[in-house]
Formats: sequence, C-alpha cells, structure tokens
Amino acid sequence: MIFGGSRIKGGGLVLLVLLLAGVAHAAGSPPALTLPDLFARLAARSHMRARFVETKTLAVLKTPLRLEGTLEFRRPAYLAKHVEQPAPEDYIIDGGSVTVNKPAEGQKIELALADYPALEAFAESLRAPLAGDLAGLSRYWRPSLGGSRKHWLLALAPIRPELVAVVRGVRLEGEDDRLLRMEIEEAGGDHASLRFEPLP
Amino acid sequence: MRAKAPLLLWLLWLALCAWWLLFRTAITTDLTFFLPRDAGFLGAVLVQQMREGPASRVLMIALENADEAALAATSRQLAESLASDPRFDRVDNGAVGAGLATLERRLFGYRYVLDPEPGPEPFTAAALRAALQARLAELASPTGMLQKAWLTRDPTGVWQRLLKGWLVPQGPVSRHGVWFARDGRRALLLARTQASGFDIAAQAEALERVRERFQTLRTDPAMRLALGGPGPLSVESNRRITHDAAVLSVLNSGLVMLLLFGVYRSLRVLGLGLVPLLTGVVSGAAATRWAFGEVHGITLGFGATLVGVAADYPNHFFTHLSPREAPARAMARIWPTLRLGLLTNVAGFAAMLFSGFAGLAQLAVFAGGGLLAAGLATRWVLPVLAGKGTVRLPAWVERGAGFPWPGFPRWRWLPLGLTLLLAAVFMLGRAPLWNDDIAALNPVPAERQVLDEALRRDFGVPDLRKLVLATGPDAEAALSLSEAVAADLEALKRDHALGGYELAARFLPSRAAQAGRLAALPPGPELAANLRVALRGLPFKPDVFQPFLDEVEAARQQAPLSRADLADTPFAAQVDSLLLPLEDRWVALIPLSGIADDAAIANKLAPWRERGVYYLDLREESTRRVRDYRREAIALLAGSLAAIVLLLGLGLRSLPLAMRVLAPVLGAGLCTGLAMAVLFHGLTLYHLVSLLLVMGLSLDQALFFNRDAADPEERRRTLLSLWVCGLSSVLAFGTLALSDINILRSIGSTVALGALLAIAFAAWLAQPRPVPR
Repeated sequence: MIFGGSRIKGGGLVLLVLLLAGVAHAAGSPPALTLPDLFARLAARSHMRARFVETKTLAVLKTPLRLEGTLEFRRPAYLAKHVEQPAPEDYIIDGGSVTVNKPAEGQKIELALADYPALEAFAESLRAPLAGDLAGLSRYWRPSLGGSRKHWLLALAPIRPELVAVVRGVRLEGEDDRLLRMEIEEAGGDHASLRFEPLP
Repeated sequence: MRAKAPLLLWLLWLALCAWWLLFRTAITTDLTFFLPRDAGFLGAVLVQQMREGPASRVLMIALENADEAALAATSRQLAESLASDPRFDRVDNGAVGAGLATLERRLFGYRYVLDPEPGPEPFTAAALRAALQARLAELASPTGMLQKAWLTRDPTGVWQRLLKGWLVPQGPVSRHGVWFARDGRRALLLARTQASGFDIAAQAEALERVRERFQTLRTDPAMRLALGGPGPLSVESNRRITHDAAVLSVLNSGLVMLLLFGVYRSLRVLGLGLVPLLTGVVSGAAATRWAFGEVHGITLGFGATLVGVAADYPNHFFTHLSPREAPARAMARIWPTLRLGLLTNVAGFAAMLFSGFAGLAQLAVFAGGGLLAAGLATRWVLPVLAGKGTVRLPAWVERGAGFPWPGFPRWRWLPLGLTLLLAAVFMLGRAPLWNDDIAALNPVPAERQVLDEALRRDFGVPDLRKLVLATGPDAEAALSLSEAVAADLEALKRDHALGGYELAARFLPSRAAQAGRLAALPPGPELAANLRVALRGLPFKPDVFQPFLDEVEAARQQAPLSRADLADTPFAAQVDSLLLPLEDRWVALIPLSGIADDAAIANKLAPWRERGVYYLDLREESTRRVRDYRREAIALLAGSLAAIVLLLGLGLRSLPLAMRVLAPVLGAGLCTGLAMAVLFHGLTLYHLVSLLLVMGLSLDQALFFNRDAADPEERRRTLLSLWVCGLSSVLAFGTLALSDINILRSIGSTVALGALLAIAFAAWLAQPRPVPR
C-alpha cells in the first residue's frame, strides 16, 4: 500500500509537472497579454456604451444599495454615468470638470476634479483604461495584469497616501476589448461592484 | 567780505535744509491724509474704510491670453506662491481643496454654533429622518465617498451646508478647479494686500512681487497679467502723473529757458533765475517738515507749484538792471513793490493755516514759508550773485518793450465786458459751479478705469459703496446688533431688494447667538430616542450614529467659539476687517452688494438708527467731505482776501489804490474760474489751488503795473518784466494743460489762462501811481 501509494503519488507529481509544462507551453505559444498590449487594444475603441448594475455594500447599511443605469465613454476624456434607478441622476466627467445633475432635486453642480484628488483617482481608474491611457492611470494606481487575452483581469493598487487611506484596491475584468466588471474595495470595508452589459 | 555775508548765510541755509530733507524727512504718500482731521464718527469710518477697509486692499489678478489648462496651472502656482508672502493676507483663486483641511480641523467641532439656519426643529424624528434619507441618496452617488467621511458624525449635514455657504463664489465660474471669468478667457485670483490701497510705496512693492512671481511661474510666454483694484490704480496714477509731470516739466522748462535766453542772452542769468525758486522749494519743504514732522507727496507737488510765483521775482529784477548802476540799487528800487507782493501772497496762504484739513495746512506752511525764503533770497542773494552789468538786454527787446500795451487805454472796458460775457455763458450753460464728486479728483485715466470695471464685473466684487454699520460699546454688542440687523437684511434679500451682504457674525457668531444655538440641541436621551424613531425602516445599522450623539453632547458642553479659534483659517482676516474698534466704540461692518431697491433698504434700516445702526453710502459721504473741504477752502480764501486787502491798503497807504491793484487780480481770477467751470463742468479742488496761484502771480503784476515810474525807461522796463513773467507762466503751465491726466490738465489750463488774463487785465486797468519807497 505504501509503495503503491507512493507510486501513485510519484506518478501524480510527474503528471502534474507534465501538465504544468503543457500549460506553460500552451500559454507561451500565443504571447502573454501585456499592459501596453491591453491598453493599445482598449484605446482602439473610440467610444463605449453599456448598461450597468451596481451593488454597494456599506458598513453603515444593513442591506446593499442597488443602482441601475447606463455608462458612456467617448474619447478622449468624456465619461458619463446615467443612473436610472433608484432615482435619475447624471454624473458627467469631461476633461477636468465634473457635472452632477439631480433632476429630482433640481440640482446641477459643477465641480473641478483637481479639487478632489480622491474623486479624480476613481474617475481615472475607469476612464484611463477605457481611453487606453496607461500613463494617466499610473499617476494614481499601480496596475497589475492577470488572466488571458480572452479574459483579462486588471488589478489597481493605490499609490498616493491620501488614496491609500480611502481605498484598498480596484479590479477591472474584461473580455477582449470589452469591460465587464468593476470592483471597488474601500479601506473601511465598504465594497462596490458594477456589472456592465455592452450596448451597441 | 561784508557784501558776501548774505551769500554765505544762504549757502549754509540751503545745505542745512537739504541735509535735513534728504536724511531726516519722510515723504508720505497716503492719500487719506488730505481728509479732515476731525470729522466725527462717520468720517472716521470713511477714513478707516478708505485707508484700511477691505475695499481698499482688494487686488484683482487676472491671467489671460493662453489656453485654459495653462492659465489654471499658473493660477494655482501663483496663488500658492503669494499665499506664503507676508505682503498678502489673503489669496483666493477658488481652489477649495487646500483650505478645506484647515477649516475642518479648526471648525468642524463648532458646526452647531456656526450654523445660521438649522431650520425649524432640526432634531425631531421627522427632521432627522429626512436628513438621513438625503444622506442615503448621497451614499449612492459616485461623489458619495466625499461626504461619507462626515456621515456618522454629522448625519444632519450641517458641515456640508456651512461649507457650501462659505465657499461658493458668486462672480467667477470654476474651471479646472480655479476661478475663471464667465467667458473663460481669464483666470482670476483675488488677493488682499496687507498694506492700504493708498499706501503707494507698499502697493508698488506688492504689485512688483505679483509681476515677478508671474514672470517666473507662467508656463506660456504669451500669457499676460492684468491687475485691478485701488492699489494698482493708485500706483498707476502715481506713475502716470510723475511721468507726465516729468516729461512736461522738461518741455516747459525748455520753452521757458528759450524765452528767457532770447531776452537775457546769458546762461549765467538763466542759472541765477533759478536761485529764488530753488530756495523757495527747499525752504518750504523744510518749514513743512519742521511744523508737521513729515512732508506729504501731494504737498510737495502742489507746494512747489505755488512757490512758482517766485519764478517771477528774478525777472522783475533782471529787467530793471541797468549798466549804469549797481545791481543792489536796482533791487532797492523795485524791492518795496516786490515786498508788498510777497507779503500779500504770504498773508493769503496764512489763512489756510486754520484749515481743519491737514493737507491744506501743510500746503499753507509750504507755500508761505517757501515764498518768504524765495523773497529773501531775491532781495539779498541775487544782487550779490548778479555783479555789475550782468544783463544787457538786446536792442530788439528794448525796442519791443517800448511799445505801449495794445489797446491801452481804449480797452479799459474789456475786463469787465469779458467777465460779464463769461458769467452769461456760465449762467446759460448747465454746468455747475462746483464739482464735488470725488471721482472728478481721481487722476486715473478713463481707459484704465474701464479695465478695472471689467475685472470688477468678472469677479462679481461688490463695489463696497454701501455699508451698514452696527455699533456697540464692545465687540460682543456690535456683533449681536449686526446679527439682529441681518435678519432684516435677509428679508430684503428674499424680496430681491438686496443681492447679498457680508457679516462677521457668519464666521464668529456673538456669544448670545452661540448660546441660543446650543440651547436648541436636545439632551442626549431625547436625541437618541428621536434618532431611533427616525431610523425605523431605513437601511442604516442601528448603532452607526453613536459618534453623532456623542458629538452633539460634546458641543453642548463646549466653550464658545472665539476669534482665536479662527486662527490660520481664511476667516480670521475676514472677521478682522469686518469687526473693528473705532474711536471709543466697536463697529461691525456689513457691506451690501447687488442693491436693487435702495429706498426699501433705507426704509427698513431707518428704525435701527436709534440703536446705533447706520446706513452709509461711502460715495455720498466722500462727496460730502469734498464739499466740506471745498467750502472751507472758500471760506479761508475769503479770509485771505480780507488779509490781502488790508495789507495792500496799509502798504499802498490808499484804499482806492489797493482796490485798483485788486480789480485786475479779482477780474482775472473770476474770469478764469468761470471759464474753467464751463470747460470742466464744475470746479474741483485742483482748480481752486490753481486759482490761488493765479491770484499770487497777478497780484505781483498788478502791483508793478500800478507802480509809478521815475522815467519812460523805467516804465518800459516794468512793462518788459511783465511781458517776460506773463509769457513764462503761460508757457510753463500751458504745456501742463496738454496732459490727459485731469490733475495736470486742470492746473495747467487754469494757471495758463489765469496768467494771460492777469497780465492783460493789469495792463488795461493800470493807472501808474507812486508807490512807497
């Protein structure tokens, strides 16, 4: 039993090594996805529209918040989040300014991104990948890439101290040149998750 | 040696005065110095506001001619650089990020005493529930993370509301995080200088600093800087006046020199001609320094102008020189006339000594002392320096001077006729006799004022013309009175009679108001119970708002907010400029802006007056000051006229003769005054000072015209001296009239016309009679 077991074990090890080699070989044959590669592919799209469903799990709340709407991006620097549920609200980032429009309250506010470094960092975590702007992203985040060309995963860790105090990390998931998911892990344990469904 | 004694004495005197003036005298440039010394409480407010008030220290900085991002970047760097400069006590470009942390650290704990509009019953279950629902909506938004930091401590959103009230600017719009003009072409920064806007030297230094920082920091070499506000305007106008005065002085000195050289043909004589003038200016300045401890820049300018009468003295002397006699003898001959003219002039200025305006009194000392010294130098120094046979007049001058005055004596009626004609023109025209608007004294050219107004519009800066003053025996009383008035102002704002107002109590509420607001905070158990009810059915976890309950309880126990707690927030300077001690009282200033219905405001505030609240129109108040100033100047002028008549009567030993001397003087003064009133649409203080000079010049000439001549040659020489004096005055001041700066143009045209009329009137009205020897 002991030998047999050991044989099986040894065989398993060999098999594992072979398998791993095979995987490594298989992954090596089409070249691995690199950041510049991914960003170049993302940059090729001039615009993007998607429906989103956002779930926010907050420490102060018993139940998560759920939001629905559409997200729109246009090169070079236009990003709009149109919330439809629970109440209609628009957040439009264009260049360096943010416009917040809350028709229900009759409110329209224009802010400067530069005045709110945290807000700017979050805006860039989404906008820079969509724009294929690796340099812009790297101003706030240290990106690391995983997964395959078909299904990639981009993890962002905050660089700036004031940001570290607020957020642990952001994860973006996509297929080819499409963004499918975004996860935000805040420092206090709060958590937001967005799913995107591309629109034509 | 005995003959040279006056010369030595004179040199010693000049050296002494020069040393004293150069090394021991401050030239002040503070324009408020010319305001009355004792003008009551409202006057003190006016002076204080002009001198130190927030309006006087506002510096508007605009960056233009580059793309938005570059302008914004430079704006940020410039603001940061200037904020650390001690010459500025506030620099604001709309970027809220930086100051936010300081505000939060200093004032978050005081949010309940600072909140002016908690709304009715903000801590009932219903109100709490509405607030919590609003917070929930914020949490859902992508900007929610900004507000989340305060959520559990401040669920009623007091801090956010305070920030919004403090930080939302009215005029400029925010682009790239900094202020821009609405058309997006200019990035805007608002600074407040440490120095008063009228302290020209300090302002010039602050402006130089801004320019220098801008040159280093700008990212685009095409970018331009525009500066506005009282400081840049005073510096600019000072620079332009100095420039124009310098250029025109060179021009007019050149012309006068040319004229004098044509007459005397000797550079030595030209040089000698400067002796009395120079002595007069130096001695006048020294006398002012002695009497007042300082010399004001304006006194120096106007005083030197008035001492200009002394420029005529050497001409009287030189034209009476003859190769056949010693210069001292010629001087002895004309001295009695010269002396009388000199003394009457000095007596005229003496009346101004009694002025309640420090500026006029200084001017009197300067001009009176200066003329006296100039006269003495003419009498004792000039003959010694002249030597024998200095002046040999060319033949054509002698011949020309031999002709009788044109139209004499057939045109005796002309002075009266001209006076009546001008009076008629003045009456028919709509021009007022006096222009007391302080703007008319403003030497800033119109196109510069246009830029300033454009910037003012971009910034939405209130013009700070209208102020409400709440006064009390101490700071607390003034503060709480201002809070009470603010309730009425708030009502006026709702009725759109008023756009807005500033209030020190917004940043530092009175102790009473603070206590009142704290009293509205419910005790811990009650608040906790209300919160429990409010939370029912909402997704918040039950205990997350414990920090809120704790902080409200802490606020209830807290010591009141004081001025010291505002230290290093931008509000410290705001409070200090809006709440200040004045004389034996404290004043809370409430500057109003966007006034739509002045009558409604005045009506609403009228009943407050008996409680020590005043509604003040700075523009109207300053106009009243100028009018008082002018009235006093006229009263003093009447006094000096009486002194002159008395002196002339005594000196000439004949009242009719004195009247004959005075007739052309008064006629010329009256005609010039009327002509200027028509031309300039009312006389200003500049004209009045110039008329004084005209009177001085023409008095000398009239005295010489009425002087008996020993022989025809003497008569010819007298006529010649008057030609030379009159023409040089017209040339000297006629060039000043070319300036486009109102102060120089007013003085120049008044004196040039006055001098011309004075000599013509004196000639036409002259009746040579003996003068005492």
